[in-house]
Amino acid sequence: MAACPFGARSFNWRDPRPFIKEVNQEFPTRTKGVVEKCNFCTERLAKGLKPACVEESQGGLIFGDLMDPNSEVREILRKEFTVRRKEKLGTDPSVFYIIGGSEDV
Amino acid sequence: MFEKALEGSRRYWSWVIALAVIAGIGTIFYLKQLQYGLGITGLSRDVSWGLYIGQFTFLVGVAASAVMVVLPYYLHNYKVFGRITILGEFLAISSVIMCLLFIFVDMGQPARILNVLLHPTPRSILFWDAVVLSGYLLLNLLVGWTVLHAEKKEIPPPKWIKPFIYLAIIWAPSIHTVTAFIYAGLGGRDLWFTAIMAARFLASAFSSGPALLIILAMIIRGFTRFDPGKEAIQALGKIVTYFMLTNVFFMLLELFTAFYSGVPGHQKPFIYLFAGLEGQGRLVPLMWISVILAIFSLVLLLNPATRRNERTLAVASAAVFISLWIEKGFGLIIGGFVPNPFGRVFEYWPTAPETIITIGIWATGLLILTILYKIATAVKEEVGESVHH
Repeated sequence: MAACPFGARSFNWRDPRPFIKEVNQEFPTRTKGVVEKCNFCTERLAKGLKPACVEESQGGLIFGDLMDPNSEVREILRKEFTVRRKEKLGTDPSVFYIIGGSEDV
Repeated sequence: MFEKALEGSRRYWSWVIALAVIAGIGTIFYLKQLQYGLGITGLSRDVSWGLYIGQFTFLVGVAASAVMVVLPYYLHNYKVFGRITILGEFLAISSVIMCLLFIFVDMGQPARILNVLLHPTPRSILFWDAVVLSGYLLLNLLVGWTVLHAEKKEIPPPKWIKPFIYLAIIWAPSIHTVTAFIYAGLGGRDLWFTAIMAARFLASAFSSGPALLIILAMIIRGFTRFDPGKEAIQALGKIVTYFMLTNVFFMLLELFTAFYSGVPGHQKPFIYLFAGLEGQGRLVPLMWISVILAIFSLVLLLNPATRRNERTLAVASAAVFISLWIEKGFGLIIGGFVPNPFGRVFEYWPTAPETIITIGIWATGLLILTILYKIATAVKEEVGESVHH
């Protein structure tokens, strides 16, 4: 928790389950007293689906394999001007923000 | 020797029972926390360490300070400290136990605590801290008990204990260095990301610990027939003076770097602590009390007349202890989290259950210390290291 420079981790200060109105059987729920963070919906990735937020954003968020030089994300990184948060800390974050992206996506 | 703890005056037993009751109340509140989760505390997404980890950090210093009486005696043959090495070692034992308890109550899943050792992660400083703290606990138990046992039998300590004594001397700075590394290695926390952190920790350890030892030595002299010695107390006073000066000097170095450079990330935690940020400043009064006590203690310690006077030395020691308790046990830890990684200010304040659990652990530590000191002073009285007054 303290080590993350991005504030991206959260801790279950109490049992989160009573707050979940409808349990999604395809996504595990966790107990109190553990740290959670976004894992890009690894359960969905395993099935070849995009992360839920990417699907919902309808093109606002782009997700792909940075290791693959021919992927869509690599193509965009080549074309667009992008920034990353707190790059100088050396954590090599894989989330890029496109500067000057259009408003309508 | 343990039987010495089982015989005592009515006053001794009332004190022991009072501490046990407070520890018991703390345990009841801990069980509530165990059931509900750490949400019972004032901790949050933004300030994930608070009172518990602050106490742990401060007490590691108190534990490490035993070396300040052990080293001069064993390495420099400074005889005056011979009478009080056991007080330092037993203080270390109770402090380390408190440290371990404070880590334990800060865990979200305490049932998994053994995973630290069962599935060691050498990349994690917390793993190394667990190793050095438990090692230090075992060393002090072994050395303290063996030497005291020999003293009881009025024979010199066995030869095989010597290597362990030297090992404990080297080991002591390691516990506070590794604890400093928990903070100093985090690039995302500007207040902690400073190479001088371990040095600052040692300076505060070697002033707050001996300051507490001075007070404890005076209490022991008042309540038992064992006299730790005027000269030993005076020597401790000088140790406190030098390290408190170093401590304040190191703090000023931090302030220089933060404010001369003007780098906002380095300035803001200090501004939050001492002036408040965005209208929020719950720690401001506490931090200024810490500053005033530090200056006040140095005035008393630097002036030879007030340092030699035991009454003013006791006041100065208490001021040092409280000042550093606020600085290490509160300001340093909480200040590291404000502002949060998004530059926003979210404050922390301990809740009532959290405070009661904390007091409960202090009571447990004091209870252990009382029992250990009872045994030590009883042995010392028996072998005649006492004065009649």
